[in-house]
Amino acid sequence: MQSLYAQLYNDVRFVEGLTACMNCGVCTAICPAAEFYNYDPRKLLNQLQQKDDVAIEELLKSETIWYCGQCMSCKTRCPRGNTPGFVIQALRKLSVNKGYFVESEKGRQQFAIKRTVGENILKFGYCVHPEAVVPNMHPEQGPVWQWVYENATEVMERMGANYKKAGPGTMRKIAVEDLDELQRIFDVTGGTEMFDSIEKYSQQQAAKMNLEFNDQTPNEYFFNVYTENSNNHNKIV
Amino acid sequence: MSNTQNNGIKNSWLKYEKEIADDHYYYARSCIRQNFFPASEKTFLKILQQELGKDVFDDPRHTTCTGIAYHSDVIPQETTATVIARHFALMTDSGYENLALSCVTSFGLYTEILETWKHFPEEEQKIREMLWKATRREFVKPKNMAHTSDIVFHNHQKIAALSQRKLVNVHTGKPLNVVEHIGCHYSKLFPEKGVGVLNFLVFWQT
Repeated sequence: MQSLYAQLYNDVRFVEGLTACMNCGVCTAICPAAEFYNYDPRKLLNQLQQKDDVAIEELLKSETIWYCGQCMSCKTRCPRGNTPGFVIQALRKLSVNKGYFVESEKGRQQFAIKRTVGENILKFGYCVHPEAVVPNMHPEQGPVWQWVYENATEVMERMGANYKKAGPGTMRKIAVEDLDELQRIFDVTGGTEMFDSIEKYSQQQAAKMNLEFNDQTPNEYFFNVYTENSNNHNKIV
Repeated sequence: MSNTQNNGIKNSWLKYEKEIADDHYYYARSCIRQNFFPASEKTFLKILQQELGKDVFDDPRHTTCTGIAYHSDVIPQETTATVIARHFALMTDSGYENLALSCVTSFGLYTEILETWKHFPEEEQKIREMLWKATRREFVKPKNMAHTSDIVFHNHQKIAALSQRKLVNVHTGKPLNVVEHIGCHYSKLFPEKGVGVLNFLVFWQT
């Protein structure tokens, strides 16, 4: 059984992201997430450089690794060419594979993202689709989106789209044979396996939390992870 | 500013000068842009194809690059890389070698995958094998990759010459102040792959 550090090192993003950090803290200074969240990329890289598996497991179960927005500002400034954002990607992948992501509030949100953005890829051929941006689940979209959603066919036609029709054009319907190719790519490359991992551990967590869990979206567990906010994430000043 | 100083600035920013293909593009659509700004994609194609007479292939087989799912960490890098490799294969299959990317996240990701393959050639081989196993497709890497805003910039003089209305204040005749949001994954991931200061120096002088 490989150590957690060795498993992280199997990910090229980890190799590229953490080369020789001298803990100068420039990444933290420029990081927008560190401005608002209890998050410090400098501290994160320092912890990882210890190669301590107990500390890494704690990290994989923590809220910390889910605060990064992957804007990659850190890549632009590091004098040693490190990218904490890439390291975060490797940490999250391992957290999902190990099932540790359900131990944190922010980590549990992976389930909602998988059921929406993730499944949209295999259903529509795009990460986002107007049908999937349901207004009552997206109040941030406001009344204009509500109107667009209710009149999507007419609006899209007016905008010159080829909405849900075969052939080229904006918002076209992706043919079944192309969606099948995407599914086969997911099967061959580990995408399906990662989806299954998110489902499996989320179902176990739903049972622990005594929340309904099924194939329908949304369900009780989905609503919980989609809306839960302990407000314990802010930067401690 | 003296000519020597000007040349010094130009030389120091030379690595940021971007080569942008002039014609024959394979078009890669954006999930967010076409969902929330559908007329934006339509207008870009209209300007390129109808106004400037450029060859842009809008392939119905092209799909998402998976970027939002990738950066939300619900899928592994191998899945994203293979989906992008499929797009390269569709481009190759259609006889194109220049990619026009409508999305900044895609721009960052396509670049990230190509750069990963430079640093880790074994990853490219792995993805080629995965693509073949999943789709029986093969690909040639793009010769030129540009974001659609790069292509608009490349043609700005021709577009200006064709434009019917100028973006000026009708009362003063002065140009309107315009702010452009440059996406994080266009400008931060691989700054040297974007349009940089030297291009803008040339732009200001024209």
